[in-house]
This record gives sequence, C-alpha cells and structure tokens, in this order.
Amino acid sequence: MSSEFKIYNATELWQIETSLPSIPTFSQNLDKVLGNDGIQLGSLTELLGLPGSGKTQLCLQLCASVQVPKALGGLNSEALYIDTNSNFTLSRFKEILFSSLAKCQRIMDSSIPIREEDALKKFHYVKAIGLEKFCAFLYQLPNFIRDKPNVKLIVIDSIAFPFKDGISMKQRTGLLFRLVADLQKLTLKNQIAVVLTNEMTTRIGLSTGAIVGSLGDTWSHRCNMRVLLSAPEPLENIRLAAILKSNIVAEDVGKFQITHEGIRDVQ
Amino acid sequence: MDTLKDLLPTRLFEVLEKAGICTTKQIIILSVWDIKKLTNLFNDDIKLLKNILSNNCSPVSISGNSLEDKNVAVKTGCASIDKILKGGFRIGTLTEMYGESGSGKTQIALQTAVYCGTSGCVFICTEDLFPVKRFNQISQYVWHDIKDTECKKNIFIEHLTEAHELISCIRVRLPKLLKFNKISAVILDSVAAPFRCENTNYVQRAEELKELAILLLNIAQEYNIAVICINQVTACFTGSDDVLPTLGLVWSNLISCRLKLTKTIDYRELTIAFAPHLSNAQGAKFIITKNGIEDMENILINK
Repeated sequence: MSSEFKIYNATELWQIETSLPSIPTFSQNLDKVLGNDGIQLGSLTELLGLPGSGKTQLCLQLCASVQVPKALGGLNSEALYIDTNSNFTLSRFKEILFSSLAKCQRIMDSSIPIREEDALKKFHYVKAIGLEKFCAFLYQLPNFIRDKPNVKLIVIDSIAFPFKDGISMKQRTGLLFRLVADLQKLTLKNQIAVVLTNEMTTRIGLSTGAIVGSLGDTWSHRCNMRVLLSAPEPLENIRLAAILKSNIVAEDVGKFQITHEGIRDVQ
Repeated sequence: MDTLKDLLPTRLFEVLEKAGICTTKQIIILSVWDIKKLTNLFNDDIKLLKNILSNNCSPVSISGNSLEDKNVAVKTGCASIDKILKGGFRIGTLTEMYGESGSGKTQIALQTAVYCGTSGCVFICTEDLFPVKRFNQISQYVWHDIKDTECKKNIFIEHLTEAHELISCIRVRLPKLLKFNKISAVILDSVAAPFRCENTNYVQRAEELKELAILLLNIAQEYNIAVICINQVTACFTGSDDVLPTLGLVWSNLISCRLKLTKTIDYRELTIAFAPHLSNAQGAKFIITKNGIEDMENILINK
C-alpha cells in the first residue's frame, strides 16, 4: 500500500476542476440548481426520493447526457450503469438516449447522423443483484475502468438495495463505507462522476416516524451532494429537486419534468 | 457453482475451514482486517482470496448494443391493459396491483394465469380459496376444450395464510417446482394478508417482507418469471378520500412497478402509480364480464 501524497496549489486544483465539463441533466433549471451546469466529474452525488420520484429516470438521462458531443461542450464519453434492483429497462433507456442525441443533432444542425448502435456501445450495463454480486463487481471495478478509460459516469441504482440481503447493521455500515471509499479513490483519480440512488425509510429511534434517507445517519454525510426528488402532484410529470447538501451550491429547489424523451424543463 | 474448495489453493482453503469460513459471500463481505483476525493470514493472501472469489462470482458488464431488448412480458389478455403496460407484466421483476375490495385485482390475476397457458403459472392464495369455477369459466372461453385441459396441467395452486409459511414456500418448495416445470408467472394473492393480521412488530414485519421480496426477485431473475403481487389498501390519514397501498414504505421500496385499480359505477380502471419503464399518462378502462376482463371500448362499440 503506497501512500503517495501530492500537494496541489489552488490554481492546479481549479484547473483540474474546470478542465472537463459537467454532465448536463437536459433541464436548464435543474442544471443551474445543481451548480456547475450539471453533475461534476469526480463528485459523489446521492439521489433520494420516494418510489416514483424520478431517481431512475434522472440516472438514465445522465447516462445519455454523458454522450453529448464535444462540439456542444459535452464529454463524448461512456457510462456504466450498475443495476441492483431490476428497475432498468433497455426500451426506456433507448427512448431517452435517442431523444437526447436527436436534440443534440438539431442544435448542431448536423448532417452527420449519430448511429444508434455506436451510441449504445458507449453504455455499459451490469446486473449486480444481491450483495455478493454487488461487492464482487465493485472489487473488480478498477480492472473495468482500466479497460474502458472513456467511462466518465458510474450510476449505482440503488445503493440501498444490496444491503437488504441479510446483513447485520454493524456489518452494513463497515462494508458500505469501505466500498464507497474504494470507489471514491478510483473515481477521483480518473475524474469520473458517481451518482447513487437511495431510498426513503421511516426513522426509528430519534424522531421516530420521520421519513429520511436509508442507510443511516452517518451515511447522510458521506456524499458530496444530496438531492431529494419529489413529485408534488401524484399523477403529473413535474418533479422537484431539493439540494439537501452540497459542497458547491446553496440549498435550492429545482423544477423539471419527466417526458417520454427523458428529463426536460417545465414549459 | 464452484465451491470454495475448487477455487482456492489447498493451504488457504484449509486455513479458512479451520476458521469456520465456508462461503464465498463471507470472504467478499468481510474486511481484510476481519479475515485477518479470524485466520491470521498475511494481507497478500487475503487479497488473493478476495481477488479469486470476486473474479469468480462477479457479474460481467454488457454494452448497450449487446443487451437484448427482451420485450417479453406476461400479458393479461385485456388489450387496453396490455397496451399501457407495453405488453404485460414485466419479467424478472416484482409488480404490484393494489386497490379496494372488488376493484378487479383477482380477476386480472386469474385472467393472466389463464393466458399463461402452457407456459405455466404458480398461483398462491393467502385469503380465500382459489376460485376454481371462475378460473374454469375464463379458461374455457380463452382456450376451448382440448387446449384448455392442456393449459390446466400447467397451473400450480397453493393456499397458505401465515407469513412464515409463505416465506418457506418461496424459499424451499418453489425452486424445487421450478427445477422440473416451466413457469412464466408467479401470482401472490395477496401479499398483504399474511403480514397484516399479525402483531404490530413493524421491524420484524419489515425484515420478513425484505426476505420475501429478495427471494421472489432472485427467482424472477433466474427463471425469467414475472412476479405479480396483489396488495390491499388502507385509509389515508391526511383527510382525503384517497386510499394507500398497505405494507408501508418498506414494501414500496421492494417493488419495481405499482398499478392501481379503481372501480366506478360504469367501469373499472387500471392506472400506473409508478413504473420506471411506463408513462403514467393514461389509465386503461375495462369491465368484468362472464368471459373475463374486456376493454370497455369493445363493449361500447358492440352495443
């Protein structure tokens, strides 16, 4: 275990932080509220929300957004989607991916078509259902990243689900933090954005009955940014994103809607 | 599944055996420090162990163009419902139908079981006995005679009332059945009944629900089955007339797709409460007839 310490000065850090664009959500309002015009590379973002609040939809949109061409200020990179709760469907992802690319083409006014198959090649999917498979894959993740250096986004949907699999609370905290520590080391070094979805649960103990994010109180401090998604009207497509915790922006609430094309601004 | 003995060098296996570690899961989950405490192995050895085992059981990533667009779904047989569900109940995941008594949940489940036909279906009843007469009525209408008898051979019915019986059935008996029979859907009518009558130990109930859902999800994934759970309703305390599905937030987090059934004077309606792959724009209107579930449009046109 080599401990190399490099000391950066502020200019170097600033250059690193601004050298690559963020991953846009395709909703300008939400991008503004997230700060930095989207999800910043190297950050660890947690999406919280009740079922149906749009966590998976936002993740799918980000997997498509990471492919925005450089000509439009995008990353033109690849995404890895780690599915732990069977919420992913290829049909929905294709809908969002192709709509997002079509929008890019309209803006670029380009005559060069983006081939659907090429776009799909930039998306990597892993089905890691169950704690064993999840941990095993994360252990092998450095090898994956080494083989696919163009991956700039890792989505874990959801981080809470594997831990329902029969593990004691004490073991859970230790394991979760070890996994995320290794993950963060890897993603900071390679400038990769990590987006995790988490569930809501009813709290027992202090303030019994409150609805909070699951995985415990200590976990709530772990991510750089925590975003709470909610649906103000049950059958409408409008969603609110409240920034609960961020290291770069003030607490604010963004508004967006979920359409068949993906995430967009409210008209 | 390779055992630890097959995968590891003998000397390491023997040390693990002495320490009482016998599953891959334990090695993958325990920290390096925990394993060192139990076995006194060197760090390099422990890392080697973790490497070999995680390599062996890690899932492999697939790129988008190689992913199969498995649009296979278990249909309900009612065109309007199947349309908004984009084919039917999704395989490999848990879908829930909830609604007040008499809103049509069991009817849709029965018709889905009929349409499974020779693909096979497991129907677990936890409230009333399986409605054989009604099932036969729908089956006769859909399949007619010879095919009907063929299809009936592929439906497996169970009746239980307690939570521990249900979990044991899913954990032990269902995999045995699946080894020798092709099944495309597992229907649980209802998931609420075994968990609602007991004590109010919500923590224990939560643990049991998680166990049940994980077992069902693993089976759904391994055997490509659609799991359909029927849920009851409870009153909403915020004063509106709305009803909420029972079993709380714990259960809501375990399912992937939630469908709501409502009943009005003229018709019944199925709406999508949440589903990651479906739009909740419209509902599907249907009516219940002697032949099963039918589109409301059809009846209006035929009039």
